[in-house]
Amino acid sequence: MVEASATSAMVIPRKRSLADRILGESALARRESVSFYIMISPWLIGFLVFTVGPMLFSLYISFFDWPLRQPPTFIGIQNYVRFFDDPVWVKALQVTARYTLSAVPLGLIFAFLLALLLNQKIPFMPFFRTVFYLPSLVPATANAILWLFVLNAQIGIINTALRYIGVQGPSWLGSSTWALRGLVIMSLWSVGGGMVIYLAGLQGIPEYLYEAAKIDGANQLRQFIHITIPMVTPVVFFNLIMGIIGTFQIFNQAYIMTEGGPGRATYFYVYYLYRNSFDYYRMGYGSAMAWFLFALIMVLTLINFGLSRHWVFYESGGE
Amino acid sequence: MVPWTGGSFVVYYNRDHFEEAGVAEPSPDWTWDDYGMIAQQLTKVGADGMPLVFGSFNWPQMWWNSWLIPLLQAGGVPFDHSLWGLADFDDPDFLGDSTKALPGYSKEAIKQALQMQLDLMYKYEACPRPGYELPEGTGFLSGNMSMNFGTAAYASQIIRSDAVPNWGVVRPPKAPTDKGRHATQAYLAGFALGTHCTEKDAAWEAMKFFMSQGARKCIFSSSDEWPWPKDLEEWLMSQPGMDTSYENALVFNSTKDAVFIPPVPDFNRFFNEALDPYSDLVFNQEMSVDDAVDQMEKEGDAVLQGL
Repeated sequence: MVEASATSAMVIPRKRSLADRILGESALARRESVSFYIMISPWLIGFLVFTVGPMLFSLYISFFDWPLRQPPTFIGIQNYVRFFDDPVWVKALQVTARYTLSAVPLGLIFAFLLALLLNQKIPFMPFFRTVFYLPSLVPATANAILWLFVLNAQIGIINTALRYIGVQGPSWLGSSTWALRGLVIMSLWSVGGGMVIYLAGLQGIPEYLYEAAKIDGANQLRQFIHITIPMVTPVVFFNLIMGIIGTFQIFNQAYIMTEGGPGRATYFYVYYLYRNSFDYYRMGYGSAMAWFLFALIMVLTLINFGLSRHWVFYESGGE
Repeated sequence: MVPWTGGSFVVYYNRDHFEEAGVAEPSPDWTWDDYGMIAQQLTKVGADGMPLVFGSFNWPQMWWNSWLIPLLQAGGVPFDHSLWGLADFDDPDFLGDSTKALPGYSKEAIKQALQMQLDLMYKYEACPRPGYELPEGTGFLSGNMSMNFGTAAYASQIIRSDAVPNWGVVRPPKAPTDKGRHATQAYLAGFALGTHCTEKDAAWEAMKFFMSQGARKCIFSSSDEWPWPKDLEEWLMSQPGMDTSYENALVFNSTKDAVFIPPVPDFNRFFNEALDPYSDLVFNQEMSVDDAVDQMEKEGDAVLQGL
């Protein structure tokens, strides 16, 4: 390494050719570049073949009518126009938006409160943190099966608990009124991921801010409102963005637990997309739905970034 | 895909449940009302109010096992008569005059079938309501259900599982508008002629061969589908109340005695998007039967017209 460095230092500066810029200025740099691309190639090839390729192909096929077992027929933007004549598409979007509007705020609050509790200095805290984080590690399918039992109208733990206090619980997944609410409650089971990020945010708040506030006579509530909350707003913002992206893509619950029912009460957008593509073999329409969702999430994210200037506090001034 | 099974529906029942409840076994000329009342008597509820045994089947999420069987029995099909043309199901040897006897988009039959399922849930309280499944299952083979509709071939599953050793079989109860035709499972046969089939003539010939009596007997006797040393159809026809019309439907010798759902384009989409959401609402008592059937017709037609 030392020898190579010395050699590099003796090279006379000259104008860089295109080949130099691509391959590097020296044999060592070229070797390093080649090594870099060799090492990264499995991921890069995988990314291009299994992510970028299918994405571009789905964009292409969204302009076709393709029943999968027959050749595709070009139909221009008809798949995109068809959305607005499809009542099920509208319904699926509404259901998903309702889920997002309920699950995201609740998840943000629940994860934050949990993080506050787990930020206390009491014995066995690592144990409690692990316990509360564990559910977010459970695979989505196992979670869904578990919650089929939890939400069972007859023997589910929620209705059993309600019966003890004299309340007859609803048929959670059997009722079009309660099914979506049941899935929103279920979403709180997996707030562990957000909670851990909150916890890191809380622990990153400089102690001197609280000390200064105490000297100025601020009680705990004022410290919480004027120090804790503003200092965690970047984390809230991050969790908000991730929450919106995640909830708009909700699928497993509908696929495993409700099949979109009853009465389309849990007919989420991605579930309808899946059905169109793989049950009804309308691959063009399914692809168009996917790109619409991509655009929708992009727009919502940009709006949120625009609004974040008004409520997200960065210690560095947002730099 | 070639048809490997099919046949008309019968009711399988758990004889032990009838004996324990002191209920006489059903006679072949029973009606839907009889069925509901018997199912009610067979249903057992524990001291804590939790059902232990359901008298009747119900699985609203699975259309084939639920209200579409009574619908067919009531003489109805969920398609408009004119849509049979879409089915490519027009072989005159097979259909004969049977299509002329079809009642068209059978709104009245659909209403009857939905009402029957609704009554079983709320009037007779004899089958699980939506969202109320017993943890160990409510299927016939769980031993928690007294009566279950199934095709003839379902007998092989009962025999092989050995979970319900003492069982019987009887013709389905008669619907109020019963026309003497038998609800028949034929969708597997239909898949051979689906929209994407490029060799419809060959598929049709294969289907006719495999549905012939000789081929079916050969298939059953040579496969492990049928574990008995008896012939399924001969055995079934020896049961009380089985007549020639049932045999015709069972072996697809003639469709004039069978009523079944024809294969049409967007078959799955029709059921998932046009029927299921509204039957869900009916079974949750969140929509009237009349309104649901109107919606089914509207959305069903849209699907079948390719919208």
